Amino acid sequence: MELIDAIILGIIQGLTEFLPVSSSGHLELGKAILGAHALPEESLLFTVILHFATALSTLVVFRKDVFEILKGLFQFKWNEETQFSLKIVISMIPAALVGLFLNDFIEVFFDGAIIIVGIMLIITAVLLYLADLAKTTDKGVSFRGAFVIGMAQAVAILPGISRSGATISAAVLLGVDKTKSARFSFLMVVPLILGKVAKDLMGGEINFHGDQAVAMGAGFIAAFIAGLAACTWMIKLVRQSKLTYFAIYCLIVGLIAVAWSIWG
Amino acid sequence: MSKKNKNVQKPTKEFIFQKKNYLFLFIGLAFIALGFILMTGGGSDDPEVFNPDIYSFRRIRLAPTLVLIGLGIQIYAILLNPKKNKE
Repeated sequence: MELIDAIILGIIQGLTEFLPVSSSGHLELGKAILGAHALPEESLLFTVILHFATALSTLVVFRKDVFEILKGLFQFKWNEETQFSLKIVISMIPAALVGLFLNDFIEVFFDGAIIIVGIMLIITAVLLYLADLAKTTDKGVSFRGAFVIGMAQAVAILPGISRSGATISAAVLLGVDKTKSARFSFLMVVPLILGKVAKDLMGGEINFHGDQAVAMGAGFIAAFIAGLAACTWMIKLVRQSKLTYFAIYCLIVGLIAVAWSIWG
Repeated sequence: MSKKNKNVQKPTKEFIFQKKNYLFLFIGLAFIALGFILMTGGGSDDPEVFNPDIYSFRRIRLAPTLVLIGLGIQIYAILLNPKKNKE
């Protein structure tokens, strides 16, 4: 992999992990426009490195929250932090169930079905618009809410549905405070990413060549910095109800995708 | 006078990480680098010939474990709050 490819892929990963634009949807569109082999191929190790970089950027942004959560959790009491951790676990259940039982069904959507990607992007646009319309509250995430947000995360496996967009919108539409919604959305995915990184690393399928080191390092730094910027920016956008810009973008791309698959 | 007051009131900007955080970041990096170094090699020079050494204990167990420990140390380094220890 070329150094420039690694940096570009790192920046894309860092941005799309947090900004509500659906990386998988754009990847499918990119494949349809440029051809399946036009995009630079990522090795499993590179994917692991980029995911870890975005998880680290989340941890840096929320380091105080994570520190408090871990401190409270290890007191082994039914305190706010333990409840928050349990809510994170509950939110992971739907995506885990989908991953275990519906993997083959989901594969169908990753088979160049551009019309589906377009429709999903339009759904993302509607969700983001509705999230911006929601009133400001100071409510936190409930246990039931955590499960519903988890269901939104499971649906976001589909290409075109943004994970951050779907989960933040679901939380805000449930009446949760906007900043708390963004915080929950970004923290809920960290255990999933770290678990996946550990599973992939220990899976015995990773190999490393010394000449990849510079590209991998550059990709990691690019994803980490882009992730830091995107995470901080996204929290601000959610708080200031400025998701409509992304809603407009997703709507335009979604409509073009639908039109292209019908008339193209 | 007013200028001086302004200077006094200016909040001092601090780095989010202290010396101890960087120390652990570098220890984590050393583990990751060692893991990757141990992971290298083992490939066959001839594409027609399979070299089982690529799946040796060193490459598929020890090296990823060291990388994983290194990643864990990185997380610890980020979450470490040296100010709390001083208090």
